[in-house]
Amino acid sequence: MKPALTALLLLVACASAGPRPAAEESSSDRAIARTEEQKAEELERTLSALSAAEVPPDCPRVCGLVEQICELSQRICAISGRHRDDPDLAARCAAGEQRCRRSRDRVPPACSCQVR
Amino acid sequence: MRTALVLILVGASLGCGSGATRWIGEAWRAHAEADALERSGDLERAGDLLQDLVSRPVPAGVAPQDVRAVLQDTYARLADVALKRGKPVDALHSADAGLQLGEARDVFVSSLRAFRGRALEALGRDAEAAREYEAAQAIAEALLSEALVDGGVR
Repeated sequence: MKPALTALLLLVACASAGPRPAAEESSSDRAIARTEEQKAEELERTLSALSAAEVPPDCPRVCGLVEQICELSQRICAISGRHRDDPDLAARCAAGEQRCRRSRDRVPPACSCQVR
Repeated sequence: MRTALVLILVGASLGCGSGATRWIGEAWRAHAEADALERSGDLERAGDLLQDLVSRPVPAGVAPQDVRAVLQDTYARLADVALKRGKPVDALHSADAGLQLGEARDVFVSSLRAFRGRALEALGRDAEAAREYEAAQAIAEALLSEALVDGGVR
């Protein structure tokens, strides 16, 4: 959805670009300007409709997955904690914790996941 | 809860009156009964009931992906019940049986990998357990990306 919105924003911006100086205007220029203005208005309406149609995030699913990712990270790190001399497990623990942090950072503001 | 949803979705896709629909209905009832047994603390009977479900022949007409979803979900639950009963070897067998039905980046395989990790950890096979947890985590992260895209957030 976001690329479509971006493209529309660009089109709106292009279509609403400022008019040339009055001296250069001809009747044909004014006709083009009117058409462009109508296009811009139409695109703005489409943009509003698209924004309104954005699907809200499935918070229970998102929160459940984040919780699962972080719980698995805790399990990996607990194992690593029991084998402090094992660099492979330490690396897996670090990678797991990174995944947990990254997942928490990706939670949309609309979702308030309980952090354990 | 997830099991019920899986069974309702699969059942709805099959239509009515077929052997396939009956199988889904039986699976739904078995899971509901296992829920009640688990709540009452009778883990042994809950496990027996789920074991009976995975041992039954699957009727023709059920789509392979639906068979995999229902059976993998049931095997994950069997592994969970076995772990609760302090039987990690049984849990490992159930997780392995579920994974033999096919690999995919979905919630069923992620769940089976996590239970396999827990069984291995209980058996003292820590390094293998960590690898299973990591595999489950990678799938969960991919599912999170999908959930964010499906939910309109990228």
